[in-house]
Amino acid sequence: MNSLKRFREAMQRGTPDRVPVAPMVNVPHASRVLGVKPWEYVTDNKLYVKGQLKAWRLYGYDWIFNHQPIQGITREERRAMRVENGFVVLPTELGTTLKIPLEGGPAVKEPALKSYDELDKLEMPDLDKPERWEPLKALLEKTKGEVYICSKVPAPFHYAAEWMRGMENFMLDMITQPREVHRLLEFMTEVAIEIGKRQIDLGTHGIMMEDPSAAAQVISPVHYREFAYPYEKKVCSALRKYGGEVIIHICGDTTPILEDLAKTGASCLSVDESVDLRDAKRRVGNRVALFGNVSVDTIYRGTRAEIEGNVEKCITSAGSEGYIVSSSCGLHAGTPIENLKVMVNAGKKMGAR
Amino acid sequence: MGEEIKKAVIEGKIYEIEELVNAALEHGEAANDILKDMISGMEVVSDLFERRVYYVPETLLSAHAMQRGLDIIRPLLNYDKVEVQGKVLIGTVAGDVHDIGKNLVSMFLEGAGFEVKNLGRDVPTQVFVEETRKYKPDILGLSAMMSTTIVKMREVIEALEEAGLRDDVLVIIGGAAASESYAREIGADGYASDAAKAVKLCEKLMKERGKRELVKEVPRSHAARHA
Repeated sequence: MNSLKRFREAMQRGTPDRVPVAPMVNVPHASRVLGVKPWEYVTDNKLYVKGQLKAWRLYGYDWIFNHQPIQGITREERRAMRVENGFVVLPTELGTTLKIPLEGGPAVKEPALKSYDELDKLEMPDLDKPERWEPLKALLEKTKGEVYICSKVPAPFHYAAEWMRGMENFMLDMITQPREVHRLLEFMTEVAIEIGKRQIDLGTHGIMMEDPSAAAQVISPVHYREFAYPYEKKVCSALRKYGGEVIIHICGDTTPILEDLAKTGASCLSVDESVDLRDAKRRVGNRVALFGNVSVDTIYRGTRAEIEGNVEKCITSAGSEGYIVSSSCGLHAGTPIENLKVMVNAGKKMGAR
Repeated sequence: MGEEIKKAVIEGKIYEIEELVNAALEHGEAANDILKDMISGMEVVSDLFERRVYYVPETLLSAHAMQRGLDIIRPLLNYDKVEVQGKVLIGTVAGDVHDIGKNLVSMFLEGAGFEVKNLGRDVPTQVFVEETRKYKPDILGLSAMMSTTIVKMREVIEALEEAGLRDDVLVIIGGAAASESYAREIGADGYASDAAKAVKLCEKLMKERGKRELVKEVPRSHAARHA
């Protein structure tokens, strides 16, 4: 059974020959493996593909997480890139300006919307530009159906909060101007669905939607159900109808909203380490596959025995049916390559039938 | 009037609070008493947040209401009579632009009677050092939300040591990327997992600090390590 079949089987809540292993390799880690600066990796489609492939071959895990939120960098975006106080500043087509430190991953410098009046002027990023799809096409071509390629779409709630309005503004907007918030969320939902459909057309095997701002430490279940859930659901059902399968990842605690998440139409839930996998399995295991949650802290600084122990605990708690063993979140910058090898190899060994 | 102002803070009445505060002042209430009312409101908010009745949006709204009230009474406060629990300097480390959690800590601390200087987000290591020298805080709070920026916390502590300032200030850390074990690893004096716990941590540290100043000859652990 190859990685693609194995991963697909688990996504359908089946029991493959062994539990698929799929750590959330992110910008800092993939660029480390490739030996380039994170900003070089994110702003160059060729380096991006090279880094992804090198990491996949090095570790031999069962997926490739195609983690760019609005996919490949276009020529216009590259041209607008500049260096400011030791940061690479990258304006994006959604109107958000990103900054990438020389040694770290991208973060939002300026959110796109100063006020909701600007919402009417917002345009969908140009998805016809061929450079957008260079990374996904190359990854699919080079891996020839060997491995599960999971591409990212921007979760409406998280990207509305962090990219479009800034977290603090957005949190207040939810109470003071909910109607405008819903208007923005509708727009972001369209963006996510359009990006997802293009990826499915090209042949991506899965879709990842990360919605960390909707975690239960941040917003109440009531707010989650009003502002995050309906849009997660719209994206999941639209993409499902279109033939795709979606994994939702939320960093932080999702214990109080697991049943809601399971009803979004996602095929799989990726949970952080604060969620008890055994409890999650019992509550939602009949509706969704589960994904997670070996502590990124342990992978970063744990001993071999600690990492292996954590992997074993996850597999024992979740069982081998409908389960993919992964890191609890994106890997810490500076995670030693040796440590991730221990995690991946432990997953392969302990997850075997 | 006091109860109404307290309630306005608890309920995050950002549009009504200014009117209430102005009315109280016209009524002859002292700015210091109004401050006390707002602080007792924030204490309730902090408790509601800790018990997960309030989440980030509700808490922020209360904090903003308090800020609006504070803006009015600040020039009228009699500072000799304001009891200050301690001075805290706080900021998010370089490269990290997340500041919502750090702002909550800052607002809760003000609510608990601390004097707080908030350096904002994406603060270069050298700025933490210079501000520590100038502002002379009892406590320096560092925040990092991203696994990619947490390393800067260690850098700040090392820079404070190099500048000979480490023994003058207690360093606490927080944010999604931080943890108790990381605090120990880099020689920080404490870690808190949320804003309400950060206030308790600062109160505890200030009590211990009071004691420590009485026995100055006892070296702190990191001082001993570098001796």
